[in-house]
Amino acid sequence: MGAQPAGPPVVGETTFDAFYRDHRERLIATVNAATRCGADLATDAVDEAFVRALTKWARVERMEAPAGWVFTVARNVVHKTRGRRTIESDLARTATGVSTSGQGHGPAVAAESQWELWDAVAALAERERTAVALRYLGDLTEAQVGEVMGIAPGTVAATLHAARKHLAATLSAAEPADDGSGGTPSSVAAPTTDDSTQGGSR
Amino acid sequence: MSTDLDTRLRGLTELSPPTHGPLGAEELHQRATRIQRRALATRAIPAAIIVVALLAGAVALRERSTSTDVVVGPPDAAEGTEAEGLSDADREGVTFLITVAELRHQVDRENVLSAVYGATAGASGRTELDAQRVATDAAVEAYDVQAAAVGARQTEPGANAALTESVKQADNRIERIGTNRQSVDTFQSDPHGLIDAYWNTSASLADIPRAYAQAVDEPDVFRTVFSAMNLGIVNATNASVSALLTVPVEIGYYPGYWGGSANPGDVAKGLCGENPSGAGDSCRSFQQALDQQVDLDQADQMFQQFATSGQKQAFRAADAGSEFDQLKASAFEDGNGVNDLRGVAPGSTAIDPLTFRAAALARIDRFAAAERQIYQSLLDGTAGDEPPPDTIFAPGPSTTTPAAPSTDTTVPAEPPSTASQGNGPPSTDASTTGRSETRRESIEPTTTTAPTEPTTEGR
Repeated sequence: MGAQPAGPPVVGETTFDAFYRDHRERLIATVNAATRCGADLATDAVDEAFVRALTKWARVERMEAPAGWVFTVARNVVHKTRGRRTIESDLARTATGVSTSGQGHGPAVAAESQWELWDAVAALAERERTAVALRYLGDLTEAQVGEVMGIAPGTVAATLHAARKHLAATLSAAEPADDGSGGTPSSVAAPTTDDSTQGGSR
Repeated sequence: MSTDLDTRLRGLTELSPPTHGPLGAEELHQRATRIQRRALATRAIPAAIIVVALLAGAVALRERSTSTDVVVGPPDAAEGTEAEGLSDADREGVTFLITVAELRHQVDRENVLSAVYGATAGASGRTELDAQRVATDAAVEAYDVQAAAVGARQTEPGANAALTESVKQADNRIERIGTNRQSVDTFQSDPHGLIDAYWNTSASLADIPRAYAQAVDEPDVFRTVFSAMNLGIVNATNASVSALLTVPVEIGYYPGYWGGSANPGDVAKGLCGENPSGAGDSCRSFQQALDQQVDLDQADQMFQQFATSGQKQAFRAADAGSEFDQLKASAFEDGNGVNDLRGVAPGSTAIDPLTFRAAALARIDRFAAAERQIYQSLLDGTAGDEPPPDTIFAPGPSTTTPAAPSTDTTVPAEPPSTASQGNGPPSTDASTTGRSETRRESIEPTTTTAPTEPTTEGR
């Protein structure tokens, strides 16, 4: 987000238009990964956050990391909206066959190993998950991640280090299962937290 | 492993693509406008808390300083006390706020006249619109001069940061007036989109007094500016309702779509069908006007709650004898179960576009005069006195810019009305404004967006 180069300027395009065009997709993935809300809600929340950014664009565009502001608003929208979502919708999603194993519902080009990584990120503790999402999916600097999360850059680095360690452990534990030698990723996964919905665009 | 893992983590973005395409520019701006409308209406509430706290503080200070000069009670209880002289800074500031109010007044007028021109596909209103643009430009110039005089664009430490920010927002909107006009002239946007654009400009100007008031130390000045600010919100919202209703009045029905191309020739009832009220959000032209009317009622209540009796009287006098409420009520009724503003369909009432236009502009002018009178009372040192009602309608140009001709050969002056003012559209405070209290029950209240933005910038 923050370090992402802007796309080519389009004639007649405002700075907001360019910001929206360049950051929307990445922010949707970031919000989804950080909140495990699902791509539908993440898309709606990010669009809503962009609308709010537009209402105060003169101020937002002067920020060091406008995308971080949009992320925070979108995350708040997710939390607020998710509270209103009914259990039935989750059940309906389950009934329609949306799995959490990552097979068959994502982009065809996505490798199986990437879905395993997605699930591993989703299984991280909330703080680690948010840091990973902002740093890698959101492409924010560690300082910007710290701004968004309200923690010191040093703490961000430590959190990311711990998250990578957990992810590596989870992924290495999953490998024997892929070889048919038994073992389940969940048995060694990083501590899970509260959220019940997982998955990317699945 | 770490580098590989980092690379793979960055690649996760591909696994969560958007589930629908990006919002179009029009939808983005429509939704942003809706949020801004709510924000403007609700912004006055914390300011109301501040004014009450300041008044309480002022009372407490007076109790400590003298036992014979204590004013206790609601805001009106302080009326009649002699207004103290303004400091030079406050005098300059209030003069600036008058130019702001005057600019907003002219923008509001241009909004209505642009709606006329757009809705009639250029067949009507060109002369008035051209004259109005001249008046708006003059008001912009006066605003620029005064903004510079009071240092409203200063950013160095010690400046009123809220005012600077507010003026910056307004400046950004004012810069776009030229673009709006191009869209009006070339029919590039449908009239409702243009009304939104003008409304945004008007709303940004209505926000300036709020920012200014934050740096006012003198309670009497604060209270007067606060009342004028509330009335400014009423006026801006009233003008927006007027512009929104101007479109169906000029066309003869609530349009359901504009053909996407903004070509006035494509206008049709579309999703509004024969019952715009029942169509809900599908009939944007009706729903938007109704939403704005609800906001107007709220703004009106806010003004009434904190205005002094003299200020209320000035406002009532500005509202009295107006035919506009009756016409507005008819316009809303003509979209309830029917969709005909020409009086052809059974149960509908014919609304003459010229009469409606004149009444709308006359009300905008009278409300603006009342607002100006409140500010002027500070300069005159009569802020605590009751203004003589007849003085606010004295003809003549505004204090800062030449007023646009409110009427011309095609726009008759608003005739004094003998019609009842009690059957208007949804309104909640007829005791003070003469408008109706009957809120349209078939319409769901619009959802208000809770403040979920980060509380700290940069997050």
